[in-house]
Amino acid sequence: MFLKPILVLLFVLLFSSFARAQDLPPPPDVAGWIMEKNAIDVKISDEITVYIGFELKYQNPTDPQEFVMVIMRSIPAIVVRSQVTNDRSFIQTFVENYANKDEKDLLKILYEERSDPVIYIKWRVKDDPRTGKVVQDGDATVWLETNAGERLTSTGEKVSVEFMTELIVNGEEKNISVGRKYSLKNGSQILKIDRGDLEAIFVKGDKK
Amino acid sequence: MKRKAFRPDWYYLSVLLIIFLSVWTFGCAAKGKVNTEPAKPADPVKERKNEFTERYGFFLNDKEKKELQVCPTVECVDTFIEEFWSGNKEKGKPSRDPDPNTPENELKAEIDSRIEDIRNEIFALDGIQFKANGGLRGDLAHVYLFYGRPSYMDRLPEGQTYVEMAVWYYFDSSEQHLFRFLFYEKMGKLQVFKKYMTIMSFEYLLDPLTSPLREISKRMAVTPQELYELWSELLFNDQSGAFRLALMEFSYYTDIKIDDALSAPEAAAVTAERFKSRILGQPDVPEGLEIVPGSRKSYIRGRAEIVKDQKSGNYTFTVMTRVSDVDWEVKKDSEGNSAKDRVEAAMTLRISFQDLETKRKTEFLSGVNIGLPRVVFDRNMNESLPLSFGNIRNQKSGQAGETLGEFLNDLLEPGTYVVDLYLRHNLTKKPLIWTGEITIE
Repeated sequence: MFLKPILVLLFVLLFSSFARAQDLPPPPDVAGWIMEKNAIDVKISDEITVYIGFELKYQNPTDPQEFVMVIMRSIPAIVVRSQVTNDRSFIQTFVENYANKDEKDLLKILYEERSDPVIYIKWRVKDDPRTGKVVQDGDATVWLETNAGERLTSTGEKVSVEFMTELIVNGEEKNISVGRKYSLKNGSQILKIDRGDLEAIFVKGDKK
Repeated sequence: MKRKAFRPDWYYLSVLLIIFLSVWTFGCAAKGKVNTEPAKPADPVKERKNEFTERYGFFLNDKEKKELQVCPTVECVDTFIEEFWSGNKEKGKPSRDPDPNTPENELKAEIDSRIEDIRNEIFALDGIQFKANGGLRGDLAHVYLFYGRPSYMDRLPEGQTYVEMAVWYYFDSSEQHLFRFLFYEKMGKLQVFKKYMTIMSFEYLLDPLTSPLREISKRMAVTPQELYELWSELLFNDQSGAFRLALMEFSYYTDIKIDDALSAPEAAAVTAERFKSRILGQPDVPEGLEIVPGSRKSYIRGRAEIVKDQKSGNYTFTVMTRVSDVDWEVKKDSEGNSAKDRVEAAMTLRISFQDLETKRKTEFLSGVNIGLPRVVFDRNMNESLPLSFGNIRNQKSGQAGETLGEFLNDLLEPGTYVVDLYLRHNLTKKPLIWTGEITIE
């Protein structure tokens, strides 16, 4: 007796929880929220780091139990640091300090001019009365824009993250981290380095 | 016979004294040594320069010394000092701040701290005094200001045959001797030793014309026998061998020379520039080019479609995007006819096909150029833009240069493949990335 309405309800819930662009609520507006920002990087070696995006965590200042994470993708930036040969430790210190500053400046430009938000995840927390710890309160809601520009949203579904690698052959075979793939159901957003740049560094030795 | 009037001795002495004083006073007045004019005020420009060079003179290179020398005003000197530490990009002056991430200049702070050490005579208990050895302008101060406290130091009082000496060793992180500074007494002060042996032989060591032992000998001219006695005494008293080693070689590393170690150090920014990090993969748009950017700052939205034509059985590869998603370079008509303006995009296409079963990967690489008349572009901004690449040729080294169509239809073995597409704009570096699976039958 109750099966049909339950099936209808489930269908509605399923459909409404995985809506397409035309029905989608917009991603949350985080203007004025407290933000914590971290670069998403792929460490290829001691000398080589690739920046592919940013993770921003926002907290609602008027409702501190409410959080939003925004994942931004950037034009991948490959930073190849020079190695100071011979032990001149004071030179190494200068070089590192200036390299750190250059990377800070690069990250600022990447964030402000060369990045787009592609994933929003909104969730709430509460204090667990049994353990006293902070736990998630209810389901998280996700908005994801795929590489093709399709917008997906879901409540209760998690975004899966896959760390991508590629094989580079330069005398020996090396499996190199090249990026991340964020997936939600049948859509994904890939943040990845161009293989051509990797080959330029490893195969052609174009580190200088 | 008339007797001469009696004059006591003090009389003659007084006369002599008066004559002497008169001559002396007259002479001094003539030379201007007795100054009857009021004292001239100190030159503030000279004072300011001296104040700076006394503390930091060893850090100025020759060019900077000349520049400071000709500064005519205190303002000029102050500007010089400011730029000495912070640099001036417009004037091509590098910064001496070792860490641009902090507001303070750590190098200046370190030097100032060492100057205080020198003034406080931190090695007095070790029998070494900066003040007695040239103060801030002496060789001891020179080394201390550059390198700070030595890793190892020792003092050898004067012997029968040699003068007083001191050694300061600086080790590197591998515990090797980076520098071995030897100071020896000359004309009342400890000076840095520089006359190293160029040939390592005992004969050379005892040769009065070439031996480095001459510098530390108490005698002006020495014989081979005297050099031998000096060496023997040194052997006896220099138990650790530190002094003898410092006489022979300045550094464990043969490429490190004392003159370089004591030259004004390169500004931190110059050093860092030589070892600057390289940044790849970022936009490289030449000045003056007009780009109409796509809808996204970091990527081109789109996807690929690999479809088998049912009639011919051939596979086609199409990239689907939108006109407004691509970055377009505006190409003006050379004759100024705006109706003939075009928009173009030069990109690099890379597709890899990995056989799911064998894991073997095959790649296709090519440059692609797409273009539209400007008027068409303006009218169709929001329209789809299907890009068909069937006729472009493979530029991947080792491949025969087949077209993408031939690659798909003739070269790929039947099987299921993971396909990775990376289509990147050559100037703005924005990529269109797509991944999918196809089955070739």
